[in-house]
Formats: sequence, C-alpha cells, structure tokens
Amino acid sequence: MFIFKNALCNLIRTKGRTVLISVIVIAIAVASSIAMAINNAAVWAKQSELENKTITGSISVDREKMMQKAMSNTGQNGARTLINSQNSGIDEITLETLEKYADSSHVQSLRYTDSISASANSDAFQKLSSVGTSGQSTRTGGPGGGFGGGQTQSDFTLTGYSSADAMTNFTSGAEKIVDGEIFEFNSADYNCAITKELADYNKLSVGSTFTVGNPNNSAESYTLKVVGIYKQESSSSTSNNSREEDIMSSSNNIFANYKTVADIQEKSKATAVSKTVSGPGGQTIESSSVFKPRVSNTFVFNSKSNYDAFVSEVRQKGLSEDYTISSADISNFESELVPLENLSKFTKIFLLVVLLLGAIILSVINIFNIRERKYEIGVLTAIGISKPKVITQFVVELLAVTIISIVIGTGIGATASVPVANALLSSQVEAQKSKSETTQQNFGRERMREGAQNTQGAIPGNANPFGTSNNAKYIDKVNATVNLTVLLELIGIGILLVTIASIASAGFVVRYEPLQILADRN
Amino acid sequence: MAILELKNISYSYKVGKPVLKGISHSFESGKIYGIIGQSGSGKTTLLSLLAGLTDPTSGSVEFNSSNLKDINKYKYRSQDVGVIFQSFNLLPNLTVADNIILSMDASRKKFGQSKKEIVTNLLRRVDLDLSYSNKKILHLSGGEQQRVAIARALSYDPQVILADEPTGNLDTKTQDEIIDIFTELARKDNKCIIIVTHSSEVSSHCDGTLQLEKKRK
Repeated sequence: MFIFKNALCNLIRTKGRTVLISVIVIAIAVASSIAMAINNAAVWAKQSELENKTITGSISVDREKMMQKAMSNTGQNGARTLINSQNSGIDEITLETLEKYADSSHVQSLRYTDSISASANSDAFQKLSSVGTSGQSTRTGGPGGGFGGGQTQSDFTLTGYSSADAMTNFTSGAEKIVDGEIFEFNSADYNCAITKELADYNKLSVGSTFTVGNPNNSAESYTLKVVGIYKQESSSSTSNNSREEDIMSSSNNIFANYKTVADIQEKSKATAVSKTVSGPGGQTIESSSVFKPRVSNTFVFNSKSNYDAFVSEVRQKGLSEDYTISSADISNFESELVPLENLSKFTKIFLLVVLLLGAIILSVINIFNIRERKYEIGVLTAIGISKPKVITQFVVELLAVTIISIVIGTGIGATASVPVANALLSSQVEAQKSKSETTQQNFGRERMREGAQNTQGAIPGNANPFGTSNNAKYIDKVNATVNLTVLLELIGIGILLVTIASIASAGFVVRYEPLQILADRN
Repeated sequence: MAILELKNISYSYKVGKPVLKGISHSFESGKIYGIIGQSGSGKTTLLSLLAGLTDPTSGSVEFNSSNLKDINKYKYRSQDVGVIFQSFNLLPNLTVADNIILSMDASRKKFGQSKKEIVTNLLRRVDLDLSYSNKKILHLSGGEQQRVAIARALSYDPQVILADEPTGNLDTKTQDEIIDIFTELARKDNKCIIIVTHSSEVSSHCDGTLQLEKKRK
C-alpha cells in the first residue's frame, strides 16, 4: 500500500514535527509506564504474595451481632444487659462443628485451643502481680457477688493446645522452653508448662506439682505437673504501667494440652453448683460454676485462594452470618500493603491525568498538523486519493511515531521504574509511619497491649483500633518492573490516544473540498 | 464518439450570479480542444467540472456516457483524467520523482516498466534534466514546476488531459515543445486534450475551441 509508504516517508520528510510528537509521546510513555509498573506491582503483591504463603484463619462469634441480639432478646432499651451466648441465642462454636468444617480439601490443618480461668487455691502457688509482692488471689464473682455473670476474676489462664503447631508463639520463637520440655498432646496427662517468672516466684522447677482451683467453686482443685519452663521474648523495651501489667498478666499463663483442659472441664461439670442472680438490668440469670470454655480455632491454608474457597464452603455448609471468618495474616498483610496501595491510588490518578493531557495535546497537535497540511490534502484528493486513504495516511503517520516513541519511552520507564517506585514508596511508608506515630501519641501509648491477650491462636476482638502500630512492617520495596504486559498495555493506550486524536483531525479532512483548498491557495 | 460531454451545464458559486450557464459541448478522443475567454468567464471553473473536482449546479458532465455524479470521482481523477493545474499543485516537500510516482501509485494501474524508468522518460519528454529527479519542488523555477506538473499528468496514461494555461510560464521554444507533446498524445496515443488558454498560438493548434462569455459583472 503506497499510503503506508507515503506515511513513513512523510515522517522522515517532516523531521521537526515527528520529533515534537515523539518527545510528547515519550514523556507520556515514561510517566505511564512507571505508573503502570507500580500499579501492576501492587496488584501482583496483593494477588501473588499470599498465594505462596501459609494463611491462618479462624471462625468466631460476631460480637456485634451477639450484642444486638442480646439487647433485643432481653427487651432492654437503654438498660444494661449481659452480652453472652445465653442472652443472644448465638452459641459459641463447638469443636465438633469446627472439625466438620476442617474436613475440607482446602484446609491444611485445624489447630485449636481451649482456655479456662483458674484461681490460686493455696499459698504454695500464687500469681505474679504488678501490685505489691504476693498478689492475693481474688475470687470476686460476677454481679451479685457470685459467679452469676460469668465475669469472674481469675489468677491464671490455663490454655490447652490441640497440637504443637497450635503453639504459634513457640514455633515463631516468641516463647522458648528454657528448662524441661513441652508436654505431649495425646492424653489428659495434667502436664503443663509455666513461665520462668511464675516458676521462680513460686520456687517451682521441672517435676514440681501445683494446684489450681475454680474461681467460682472453691471445692474444685486440680493438680498439674510442671514438665517445661518457658521464657517470653519481650518485643519492646519500653516500659510503663500498662506494659508492666501486660507482662505480669502473660506471666500467669499456664499451657497444657487440650485434653487436659477438656478433662478439667468435664470434672468441673460433675461438681458444678448453680445459683440464680440478678443481672445488671435487673433480669434473673441462672448460672453455673462450671468452667466456661473459650475455644479458639485456627484453620491453616496453604494459599489465600484456599482460604477464600473455604470461606465460601463453610457458608454453604450452613455457617450463619452470626459468625465471622477472619484471617489475621491477611489483615496484617493488608496493613503492610497500605503505603503501596496509597501509592497505587496516587499513580492511578496520575496516569489518568497524564493520559487525559496526552490525548488533549496529541489532538491539538494533530488538528494543527491537519490545518497546516490543508494544501497537501487538497493536492492528494485532487489527484484522486480518496479522503479515507488520506485519513489513513495521517493515522499511520501518527500511529508509527506513537508506537516507536512508546517503545523508547517504555525503555526509559523500565530503567527508571524500580528506583522511582521504591523512592515514592519509601516516602509513602514514612508518611504512614508518621501518621501512625502521631495517632498513637495522641492516644498516649506507644502501642496496643497486644501482649495482654493470649496471642496463641486467634482471639476475636483483639484488633488494634489504631490500625497499624509504628512497629508494623510495611512493604517498602516493590519490583515495579516494566514487562511485556505493560508494554502491550501502553501500545493499547497509544492506539487509543491516536484514535482520539485522529477522530478530531478526520473531521477536518472530511470537511475539506479539494477545489476549495486549491482555490484558496491560489 | 465523445469521451467527455457537457450537457447544458450551469454553475454558480454560493454567492453571486452563475459563472456558467447552459453550456453544452462534446470532446472526442484524438483531438485537442481549447477553452478560451476573458478572465472571469469561468474557464478554470469549467475545467474543474471536467476534472470532477466539483459538480455542476444543473446539467451534467458525462465521461464515456456516464454522469460523473454517478461514478467514483476519485477513481476518475486518478486513472482517467490528468489535470495540469494553473498553479501546478505539486507537493513542495516531495522531490520531482516522488510527486510523479505518487500520482502513479494513486492510479493503482500496472505499468510495463518500473516507475523510475517512467519518471526518467517523462522528464526527458518535458525537457527536464534528469538531475532534477531528486530535487524538491521548492528548488525549481515556475517553468520547471510546470514541466513537472505536465509529466505528472502524463505519468499514469490517462485518456483525457486537462491543462489550465500549460504554457503560461514557458518560453516560446518550450511552449512549442509542449504543444508538440500534446499534439503527439492526441494524434498517436488517441488522447483527448482540453486546454484552457489565452494564447492564440496554442488555440491555433486546437481542433476545436469553446468560447466562454463573462456572465458576472
């Protein structure tokens, strides 16, 4: 086709115009390729990063729904009421149900823990307290002075683990056995591990035994044998009252296997006493002294897609909306992604602005170009070249220079994208950290009391309300490389820009009549 | 048989009286025609109608008995008729050869020899040195541009040649050579040559003339 040959020859004949358009398109291509590389890196990080990682998730009662239902069921308007499974009608999820859900091809394994609150029932074994020396074990009950509300104050938290894998603080190295060894998991052997602080305070060593009681029933007593003493690796050197309380609280954690804790619960049922008390809203509450289990579960998945599939599957299997399925790993990863996503949002807007400006500039240049070449259009149509062919020639000229410039611009963008992306991301990370620090300073604490809770296994409602702490790790390096996909996308954008620019100029070509042009010229 | 025919054509621009009114004339192959008249009598307008660059306000222009309104005028202009414009209408950024080859390309005709050879022959025929082949039009004088315009009109072997003052910028010797070329094209190659001219020398070589009267005042 002579039109193509003529178009390419024209690019060489009109070097000045070709260079001008090239410079503009190269600038657009460089900016766009960097922006697109950052966007692609963000999408890739979000989609692919979790695919290669083990994800944990858990099922728990939706506390908000529980509260709403409890309020609704007890008919209390404005008056205080107890928020529990009894009032709300939402039962804590059972181990049997969890195991049913775990019977899925998407689940790698199920880990669970059962925690009960125990009390000291002899002077030989007392809790560590931040106030004074020997903390007096308190047996204060719930409202009415008894155990009615189930809000008993305990001295120790006894947690039973289903397997060694469930002890994630040990697998992660946050806690370490310093004497003895960890207990077995296959029977209710009443072996346990305690903190070094608690062992030293009560002068216990491996092989020693101690007893704990039920804070709601003084008749109950359970003897446990120390087979391991562990130490917590502190993650922060900063100390204040809250932090000290956290450390003390976690020092009073006793770990055993799940079967031991389940056995204690069974024995507790046998000697349980019941009583009726008045609730905070004046309602009557029937309550038992039996240990109230707090089952935490952790499902392990080998990828995020398996996690997503599991979420759909358990909903299909009948898990109601009264229960939430959440993954701390995914939440944490999303927190890590915040600066990258902020940058990605910024680059998307930047990309749109660049492309919009690019389309306007190219259209204006093309319109001026067409007006400048009015005489040429007149001559070409006068010698019998049709208007569609003339338009095609102009489009080919613009397309050729655009694609060549995009390839050059993408090459430059490829060189600059990684350092530019990381520099921009770094500033985003700093901004995010600064924001986080300011928020935390305003709330008067450096970080939330994450250690105050038993972090073994998933604990509902333990989310940090400040979002991410200033100790959070953000993704501060991305491999924002310009790949073939980016190049093809840019060429697609180039074709779109050329089309937009050509539509405007085509209107002029169609309007021109050769005789009029040549007569005007003459 | 007439190759081109004007059938009672009239033409008026958007504003003003008609430039042409009720013109009828036949043009046959193998003959040279002259269109003569005062300035403003519509000679160039009539040539534009014959070239299919515009349509008559009334009446019809027929090529081989087909109304130009009904045929593809781009194809007609690129294959059947060669126009030598008064102001040449060559592309200034292109070389002499490129201007000529562009018209050959536009015609989509097949040629027995290479386009460059045709260009060389044409330049010889219009008495232009071959070294001009690669010169840009901008660097040529008016007379040289006129020869290139003639060469371009002949390049794709059209059946009709329309020429608007083709000898206006040429010296007497070259004028005679151009008239010889047109005569040869008509007599030997059976082309229909229609020339708009003020020159009595040119009109004396014509087989027939069409006298136009000035209509607008």
